[in-house]
Amino acid sequence: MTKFDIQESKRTVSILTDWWEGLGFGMNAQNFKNMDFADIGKLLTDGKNLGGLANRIYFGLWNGVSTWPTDPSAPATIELAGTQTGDVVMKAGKRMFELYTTEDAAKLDINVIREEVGKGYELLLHVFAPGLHKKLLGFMNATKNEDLVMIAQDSAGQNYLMGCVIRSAKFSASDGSGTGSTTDGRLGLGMTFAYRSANLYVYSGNIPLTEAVGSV
Amino acid sequence: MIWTDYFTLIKVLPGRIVTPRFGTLDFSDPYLPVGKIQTLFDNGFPYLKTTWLEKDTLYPEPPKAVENISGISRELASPVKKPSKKKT
Repeated sequence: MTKFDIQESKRTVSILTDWWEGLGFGMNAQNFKNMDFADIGKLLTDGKNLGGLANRIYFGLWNGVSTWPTDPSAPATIELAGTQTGDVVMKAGKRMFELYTTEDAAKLDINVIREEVGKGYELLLHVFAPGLHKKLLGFMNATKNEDLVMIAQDSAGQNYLMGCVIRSAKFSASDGSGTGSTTDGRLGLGMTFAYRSANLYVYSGNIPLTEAVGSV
Repeated sequence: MIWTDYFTLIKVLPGRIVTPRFGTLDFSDPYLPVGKIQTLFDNGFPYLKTTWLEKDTLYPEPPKAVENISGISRELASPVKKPSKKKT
């Protein structure tokens, strides 16, 4: 009888651990046990280090994604620990789209969330699309309660994927949207999209802006 | 020769794809440089497959060794062992 109790207890703990890690949070040190730390130098390619994002971001429907890139598993180096492999592949009939954002008006914020031994990240993508035309208003209407996947590109051409097999990017706030109060004010839509992730990665795959065919 | 002689676009309709290496490429344009397309393919670009022409010209196969051509020779090199009879 005593033996039975121990098994039940152990099973419960395992299930909770799987569930928690399935959510992506509480990543344990076991996954990094094979990794050696390394010196980190200046690491600027040809001295380039411009801030800001490119003036186009990419978006699509989260449930339109067929295959997601793979997060590193037991990476051997700290560089691999920050890199996803593979591509975002869309389902048949789906594609990703482009959204223009005003120069120097888009940015990606990376915030740490939760408490000790459970830390993760929240990525906040701020964009400002100029004008208040019908397409933009329709975009805001269509995305405000939708699960999204988004990709932002920094000035060095490095991509950041917002969305994974478990969680989507969501429209979280509107900032600075409207006509502005003066003729030299800013007319357009300011939008913030949020995505929570256990880890931070560079997305090194492709972005299909053309419709997928033949995949599931 | 245009790139579509050597490669075929798969899984997507001909159109734009943002690549990490070359930026946005419009694959509905048959005059994209073959070198760029080949580099993408060599780096695991998931939306391309090769045509028979590409296999023959861009990636010619090295001459095969005699052992690889002849199934008989391979057999001679590593003959299949017959199952040994069980001693009763």
